[in-house]
Amino acid sequence: MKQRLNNLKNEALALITNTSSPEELESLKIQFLGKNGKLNEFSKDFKNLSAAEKSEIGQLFNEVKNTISNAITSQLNDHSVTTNDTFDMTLPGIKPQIGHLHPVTYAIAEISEVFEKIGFVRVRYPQVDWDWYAFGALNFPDNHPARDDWETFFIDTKPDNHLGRMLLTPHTSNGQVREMERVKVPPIRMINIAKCYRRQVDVSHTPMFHQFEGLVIDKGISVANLKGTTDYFVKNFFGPSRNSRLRPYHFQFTEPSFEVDISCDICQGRGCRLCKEGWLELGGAGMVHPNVLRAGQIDPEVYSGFAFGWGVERTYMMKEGTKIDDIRLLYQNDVRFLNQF
Amino acid sequence: METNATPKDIQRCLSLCGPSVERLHKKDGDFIYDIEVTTNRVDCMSVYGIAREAVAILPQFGFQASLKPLITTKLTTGAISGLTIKNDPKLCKRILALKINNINIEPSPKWLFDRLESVGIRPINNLVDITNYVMWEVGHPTHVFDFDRISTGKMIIREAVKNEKIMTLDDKTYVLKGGEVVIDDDHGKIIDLPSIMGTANSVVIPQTISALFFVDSVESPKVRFASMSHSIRTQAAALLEKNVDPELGLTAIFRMAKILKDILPQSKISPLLDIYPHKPEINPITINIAKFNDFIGVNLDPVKIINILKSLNFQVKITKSVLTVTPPSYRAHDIRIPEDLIEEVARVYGYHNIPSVLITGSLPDKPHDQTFSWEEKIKTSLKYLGFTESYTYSMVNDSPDGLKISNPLSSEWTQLRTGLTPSHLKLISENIGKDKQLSFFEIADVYLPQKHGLPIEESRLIVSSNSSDYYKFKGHLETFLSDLRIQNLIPGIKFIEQSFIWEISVNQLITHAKTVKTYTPISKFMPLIEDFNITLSTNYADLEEKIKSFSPLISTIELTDKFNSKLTIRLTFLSSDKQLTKEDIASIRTRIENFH
Repeated sequence: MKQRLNNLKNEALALITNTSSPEELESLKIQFLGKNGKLNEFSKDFKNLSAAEKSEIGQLFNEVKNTISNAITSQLNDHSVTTNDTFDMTLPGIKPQIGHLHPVTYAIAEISEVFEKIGFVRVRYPQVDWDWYAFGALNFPDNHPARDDWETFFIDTKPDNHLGRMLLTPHTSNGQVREMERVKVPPIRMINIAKCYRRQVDVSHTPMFHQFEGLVIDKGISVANLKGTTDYFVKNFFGPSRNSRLRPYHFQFTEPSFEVDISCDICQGRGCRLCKEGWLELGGAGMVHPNVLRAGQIDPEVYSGFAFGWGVERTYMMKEGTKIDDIRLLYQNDVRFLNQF
Repeated sequence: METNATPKDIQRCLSLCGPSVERLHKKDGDFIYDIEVTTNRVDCMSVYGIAREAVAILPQFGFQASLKPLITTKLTTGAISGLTIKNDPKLCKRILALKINNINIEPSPKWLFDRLESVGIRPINNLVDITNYVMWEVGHPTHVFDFDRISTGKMIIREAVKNEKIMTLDDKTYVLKGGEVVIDDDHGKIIDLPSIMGTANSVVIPQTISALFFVDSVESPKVRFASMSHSIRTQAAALLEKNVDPELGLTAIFRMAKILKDILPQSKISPLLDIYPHKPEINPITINIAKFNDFIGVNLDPVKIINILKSLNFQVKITKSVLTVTPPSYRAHDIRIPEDLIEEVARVYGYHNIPSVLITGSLPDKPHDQTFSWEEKIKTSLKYLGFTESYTYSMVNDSPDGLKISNPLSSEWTQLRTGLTPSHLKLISENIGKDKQLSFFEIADVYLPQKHGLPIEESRLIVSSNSSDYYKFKGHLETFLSDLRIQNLIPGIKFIEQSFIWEISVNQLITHAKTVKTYTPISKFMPLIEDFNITLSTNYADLEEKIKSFSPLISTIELTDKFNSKLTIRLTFLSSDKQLTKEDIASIRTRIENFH
């Protein structure tokens, strides 16, 4: 009898602790403590007991009844808050407000990182420079169109007798001879990222923009090395499935000169309306012209090198598929644009 | 050119190794090529020029290609009766002239008409069409005069005098600046603007019965001067500005004679007048054959290198390992140094055949000046403190002390800025209403003019906000400074046009920064913390400084409450030698409580 009572108690307690639902607890209450519940069923057997037995069992009976009742009450109280409609995990959290970096900063950081990994040294050269560094030292003839008032911004000030007119550099190539003067003896592995200026505004041009210029000079540098470097950049910046190629072109400060293309990721090189026969133009490159090496006091009989200069904004806009379709957005600084990065 | 390559093959191969075929148009069973030629290859600005390239390039891809000869007739040279030409060799390199009689001015035959139309050239009449056809076929400008309209029979090449007037064949009048090369009929009448455009008074008209084919090569700077000054941009000018080979002029006049005879078999041709005072020498270039492979990064057989050069009409002489190479006259202008030869071999061999090899070799040193990592730290810190980065233009129009741009693109961008504040005030005002709060930052250069030489390009940081809470703005800057371990710097915040601005040179920030934080050992003893009520009479900075000076045992001072000038400050007393008791700080407490 005692054993049966205790078993009943344990069974009830086990069931009670395993549930927190009020509905289930209510049904357990009825199941054990109700008029037709297990305890009352049990008590029907009392008439067979002696007086002494009745007293002892009776006491235990009441204890068990109380224990079960208390357990149910306490279980209900402990879990009264966990009903479904008071906690919704899908509500938004409370977000601390942070600011934004400009897309050009992200672009420069990524580009810089790719080159620094293969030993390139990051530098920055003047934006306001002399005609000598921007054109003269780079083998431009006197009457070259880039040097006239139509394409380049000039500063209204007295020119220098040797270095020519003061201007806003239209390309980061002004860093080439400056770097040769700084390092003096190769090896040179320069990555010059700076602002440039040109007299042109439209959907793909702003008067101020950024370029990154690479310059490598050492003994035995060949076209194969230029190819290796552009391939490396293209795969690390755009993705491992992308390829680069060189095509003939012409620049004053390189010989041979190249146009560098990157394979189109939309059509995987098959040709589509966005690309040219499966290729997109990335920018210009070439082997440094011997006259430029000489202008930097480096002997072209001993050293050779290559250079490339590409637009930061343009290159970045090609990568992300960012869908930035107008470069002018980058310099309008509308918060609704800046907040997206 | 004869070849077994298809137009698509030609497009692909040429674009990889030579002139870029941008588009291929199909028209009436034939193909039209749209080609972009680089400025240094004026020799490719013609059908024959492209064919020359194709004949060297296509075999590299396994196609057969051979050039058809252009000159198939003979002409005798000599004087032309009734014509005297007086050239000035300083102004014009070569003059070729051919008089033609017994002609009729008629529309061109269909083949000539259609050919011109298909490349966008308007057919006019048989003689004019011949000149245009040959110019595009051979690549040298050509012209035709009505012989009888040169009434004097004399042509003098001279420079124009200022204010002389001409009317070109498209009926436009120009007032000359002086110095343009013109042809004078010896009576002061200008009858041509050679190498650029004909004049209305001497061109072929429907009644013409006697004409003069005329090919001239005016000096290229003179051509550019005249063409740019008056904005007369013709194909003739474009070709001569870029020093097209006068030898092609000879080919051109031969072709004109041949086509004329084909179209008007009854026409009579005079001897060819050739005034060529100074035929230039073509300088050969010497190069060690090993240099090709070294420079390109491949391993080509010397025979292959020489064959490529020969396929481009270069003459090659070999002595041991040194090549002496002479380019053809039409390449003399752009092939001048050994690297030019290397480019020719490399591109015809094919850049796509060159391997891709990463650079090896020793690494260079770093420059001493490394502000890049600081910029990154500054930007990251400000970003996470809630500021948004902007990139505003360096060019402004409200910086009168800045450098002036002599050819600005717009009246908004006439000077280089000497400060960032005006740009940010503009930035904020243009963004009002587009976000609940505007808080920006930017690192950019300002350009400080110097007495001599280039301006100093000083890197500045600017932080701007249109919030109205000064202490919140200041607090953000203080957290920023402590995040970068910048000490002893109080931000000089300005309040302008309802905005808070802080502008400082990046260098100044960096010089106050510590790159390493020093560790202060944690005291074994417990601090004593007490609050004091003080009435502020000067300003908080002074008060804090004074109180700090009372005792070195005061480790921190914190403002916990403020109501007007009544402050509650919490002082923390700590010693590293012993545990402080209330008695130890009694004297300090008294001083503070009696402080005004």
